[in-house]
Amino acid sequence: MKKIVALLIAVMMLMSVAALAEGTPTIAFVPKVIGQAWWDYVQKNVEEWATESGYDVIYKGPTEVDAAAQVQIMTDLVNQGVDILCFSPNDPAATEEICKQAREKGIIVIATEAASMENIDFDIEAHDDGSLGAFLMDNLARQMGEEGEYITMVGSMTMESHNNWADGAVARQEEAYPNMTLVEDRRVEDNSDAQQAYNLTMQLKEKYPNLKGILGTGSFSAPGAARAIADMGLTGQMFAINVAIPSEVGDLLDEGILECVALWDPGVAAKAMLNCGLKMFNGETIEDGADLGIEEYSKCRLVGKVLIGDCDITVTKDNWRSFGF
Amino acid sequence: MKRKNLEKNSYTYMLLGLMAVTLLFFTILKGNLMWKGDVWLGMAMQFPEYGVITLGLMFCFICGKMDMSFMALGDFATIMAVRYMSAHADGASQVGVILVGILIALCIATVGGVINGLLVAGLDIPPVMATISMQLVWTGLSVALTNGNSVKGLPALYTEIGHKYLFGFLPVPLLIFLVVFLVCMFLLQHTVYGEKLYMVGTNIKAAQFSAVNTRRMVIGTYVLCDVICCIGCLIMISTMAGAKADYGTSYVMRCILILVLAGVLPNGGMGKIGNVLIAIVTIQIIATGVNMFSNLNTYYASLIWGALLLIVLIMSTRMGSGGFPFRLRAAKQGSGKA
Repeated sequence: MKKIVALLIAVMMLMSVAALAEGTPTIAFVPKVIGQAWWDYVQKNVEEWATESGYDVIYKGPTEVDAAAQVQIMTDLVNQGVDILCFSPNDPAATEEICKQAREKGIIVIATEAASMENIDFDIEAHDDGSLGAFLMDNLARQMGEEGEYITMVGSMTMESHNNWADGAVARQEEAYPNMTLVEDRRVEDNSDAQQAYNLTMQLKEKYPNLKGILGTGSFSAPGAARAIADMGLTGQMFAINVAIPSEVGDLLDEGILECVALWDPGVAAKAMLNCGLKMFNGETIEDGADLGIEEYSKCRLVGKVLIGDCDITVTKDNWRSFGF
Repeated sequence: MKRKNLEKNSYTYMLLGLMAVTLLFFTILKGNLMWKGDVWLGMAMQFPEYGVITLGLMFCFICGKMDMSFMALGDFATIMAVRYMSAHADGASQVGVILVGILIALCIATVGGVINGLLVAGLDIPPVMATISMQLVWTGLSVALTNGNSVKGLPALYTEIGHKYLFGFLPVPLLIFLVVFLVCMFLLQHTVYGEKLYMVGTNIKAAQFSAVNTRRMVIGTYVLCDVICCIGCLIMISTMAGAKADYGTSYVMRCILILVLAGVLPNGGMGKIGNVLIAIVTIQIIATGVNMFSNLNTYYASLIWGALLLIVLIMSTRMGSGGFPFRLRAAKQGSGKA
């Protein structure tokens, strides 16, 4: 019995010594949830980053979208003493306290989709609302040949981000595409329903026979509008674009009814977070115009604690399958 | 005599053994992290919230009933409490506002418990059905009130309490857990209520014929269960700095798992509170332990929990009837429950 105890103690001591020997940073990444396509894609990218950089990344998230479970995991990681903590909170305010504790311990805290948080080093975003709107407009204008009538369609007037994106798109058109006209000042609402977007498109085409483009900001507008365009036999003459989840519009892209939809790449965003953490760990200061070592984040704008990159991408028939969500 | 005691407590020893094995497992693989003081302090901060909730649910289980609504009810009660507290947060007396807020939450929990009890004992609706309906009602009310957003604005004092260490080492949530634990232990082991509870749970008909007012017992137990669960939720909102309709939804299954692991089956009439404590700590060690491995995803915690449960079930059926709380072999021995 004594021998066994002695042996165990010896093993434990050996373990502790082994732990002291390592000098590289311990990095943790906490997603909103695991086992979901969007976050599986992020995980794939985080693992890629880990192999490329040679650092170990602990990728841990709750199995359900539950803020309480997420905070518990973050507590575990903070108490283990990781050096860099990257995360995407289910509920930013609920994570403030644990982030505060983390920073008191000298842990570097990098968030995403949490622009309102205080107890973080940086929050990294793929875009600001205006730039995503401009991105949508650029892609629509290209398809329309930079001329013709268009409308904007939002999920609902109460959705702040949808409206901001639409505003950004209209501003971009006024600045860069003088031959395009917005025919309906009022925002059209599809109530986040593809069937309504379909009906609206039909009605609008009747009202404005020269209507050539539909710029949607909700994820349901383009799928509905595209079906309507196809049913009217106007594929190639009338165009739609929106922010969409690739798998939901995959067949429309394959059929060529939609040329592309817009999205930001959450995998690249994750890599930028990890790079940012690593840079800070190595003592570099992050300021306006910072280069996070990734093309999309090579000239970040810094607003308060928010680092804004340019990570918007188009999803086309060639690449929609690579996301897996 | 000694031999008899050993047999009586064999289940406890088995649980302790399992806890030792899991500790050993993580020590060998991650000894450097497992024995950091911070990790243990962290665990002492983490388990009280669902630990207290588990203790509440335990009463329901011993009574032979089920409650699926406790988390939804707790979320609703805490939402109301936070709303009150945030509306009066800038007043002069923070302590008074906090006490009233807590009282509001506990009152709502009491009402919820009474409703559960009336549905089950008064209308004879099967407990799972009745409480799932109530779960939907409470969640629906919470979402309707808040649009699914979290409610913020707790007085600073309240959020501080959840993160404070008394004398520099004793986390306040742990202290609350210990107090609730002692009260529950007293209720179960030293009061007439506790004795009757096991009777009702073992055989509700027999209890009825022994002049126990079973209806009152069931309603009272639901109230007790939901009030204690609400205390757990009150700890939770302090760590989360707010309340929301879906905070802690993953705790429902976790609490049930802990109770079954501890030998408190929803069939009723069995289980010891000491075993529940061991099970809570074991579950926390596994959750924290799994989070130490960079290449293990969080599902492995569930996997180990499940495996542990299986081991316990198998070992229980292999052991004699002595101190073991499951009666899976009761039929063979001809001494089963009615």
